[in-house]
Amino acid sequence: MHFIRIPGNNLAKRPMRTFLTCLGVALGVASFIALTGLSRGVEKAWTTGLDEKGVHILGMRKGAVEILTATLDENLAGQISGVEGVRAVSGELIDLIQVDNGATVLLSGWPAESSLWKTLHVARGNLGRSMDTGSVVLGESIAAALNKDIGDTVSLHAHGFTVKAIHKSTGTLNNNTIIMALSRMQKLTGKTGQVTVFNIRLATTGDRAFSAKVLSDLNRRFETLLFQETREIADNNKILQLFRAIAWGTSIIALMICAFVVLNTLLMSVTERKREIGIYSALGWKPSRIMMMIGMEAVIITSAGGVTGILSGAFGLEWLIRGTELNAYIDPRLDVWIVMETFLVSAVLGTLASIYPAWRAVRISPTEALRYE
Amino acid sequence: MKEVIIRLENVSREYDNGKIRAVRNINLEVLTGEFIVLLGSSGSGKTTLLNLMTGLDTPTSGRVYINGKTPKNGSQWSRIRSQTIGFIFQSFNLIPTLTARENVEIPMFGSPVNSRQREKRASFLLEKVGLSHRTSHLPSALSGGERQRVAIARSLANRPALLMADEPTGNLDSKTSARVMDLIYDIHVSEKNTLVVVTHDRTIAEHGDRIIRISDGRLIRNKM
Repeated sequence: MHFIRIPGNNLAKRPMRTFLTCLGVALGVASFIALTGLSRGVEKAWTTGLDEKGVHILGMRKGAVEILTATLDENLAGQISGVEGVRAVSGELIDLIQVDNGATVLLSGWPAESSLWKTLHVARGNLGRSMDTGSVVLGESIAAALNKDIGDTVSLHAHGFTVKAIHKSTGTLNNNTIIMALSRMQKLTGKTGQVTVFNIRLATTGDRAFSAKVLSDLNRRFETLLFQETREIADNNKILQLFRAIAWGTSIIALMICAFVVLNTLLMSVTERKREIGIYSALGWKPSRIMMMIGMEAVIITSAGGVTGILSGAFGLEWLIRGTELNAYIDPRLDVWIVMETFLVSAVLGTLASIYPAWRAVRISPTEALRYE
Repeated sequence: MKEVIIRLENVSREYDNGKIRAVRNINLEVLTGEFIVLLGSSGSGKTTLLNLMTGLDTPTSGRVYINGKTPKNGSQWSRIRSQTIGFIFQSFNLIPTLTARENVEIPMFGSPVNSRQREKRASFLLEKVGLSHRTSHLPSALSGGERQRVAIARSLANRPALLMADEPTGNLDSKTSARVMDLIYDIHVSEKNTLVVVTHDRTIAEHGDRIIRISDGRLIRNKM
């Protein structure tokens, strides 16, 4: 007999209680996975979108919490491109817009001469030499959602635009973005001469010291702007930080409730098995072994609940996103780190939850326990 | 020459702030290889005395020596109970969710043996007590006599130098009691271990090398 059979047997003896406790843990872990997955999904969608465009540094309005509503003078692009180490600058106007099917999508305006156009992987249609003002490029996902193809018309702010090309991206956000000429979008949204961000490419890539120097120069020279490396955008964005904090806070509360459920179950179990624990003690089991037995019961419950929770959380997240508009902004792929983090957090909380019941168990007097019926 | 395995020095045990004096100022030596009977009526303090001798209870005053040393804490007592003492209880005290063989394996956790060695030893001991055909049965599927034989096998798991039996036949009919006592006695003889039996049954007491009578928590007679 392996030692694990003893705690396993203790749990199997009360199957309904064990099942319900595991279910409680699974629900907590599932909400942790879903909320953390959502938070990370938003970050991933952002960073993938920027990476695909080959952008190294993003310039935004300093102090703006929500960058989509902030605007910048598009003429600053010329000054930014004059900074040493900057290879190309492209202003970009971004807005959220409601389309024909009622869905909210990202609308993005790029200057006709922007190098960003070259980063698009055109799946169907042709961009030609430049975008004309009456055309748009649809991301593959939004084209499918709107059931539009090359030559069809898309209505944006009550104006019709012809679909000139459909691009395919690995990023969720880009696949759900409609791109048009900057000048046309400025007119359409009433933001003439304005952009939301500046996409900056550096002359040298992969050199951290070089990019840090350019970043420092940019931030020093343009006091009203905030420049950040794209890999830091998700970490520094206030909205994402808030979202991350809410996700973490909510999921930790859920896991804490799980820990109390485990604690309650183990405490009941210790009280009911007072005599049994007394027998182990009388037969020479050290307090550490009795604690290990209770701890292993917690580990079994949290592991079973954890695995179930991770699987149901992953499916739940997929279902939640696929079935709603969230699929335009969130890349719901769960990576191994989230799974490991979840498993670790639930294992730690489960172990912590077992400390008090285990302590109670070793404090049981064998003589008192052996009299207990 | 026989050595002292247990020595009690002025041991007392009081409860309820001294209102109840279960064991009073007892001095006793148990020698290796002896068969000692602690004889007394119900409530005389004999089980309390056995609990004090094995560290299951702590004396209010006095000292308990095992092999010349006084265990200082619960962990040291646990080690002694695991390595030196085998227990046989009146109500068997088997774990209801474990099979007969698994119950016998319990004291071996903490000993430097692997699971296969534990299983082998448990099977051997169950065979020794005549239960080789009942190894996979749960206690609920065993008769009273069989349960006590499992408990006897369990008490031998770590080859203890000292066997402590607390009313080992208290829950058995007379025929089964005789068989169980014969088994315990045979084991005592074959294993050459020290046997301490707590009982109120005079017929069992007659088998002992030494009978210690206890009444009202006092040792009233120490007869060879």
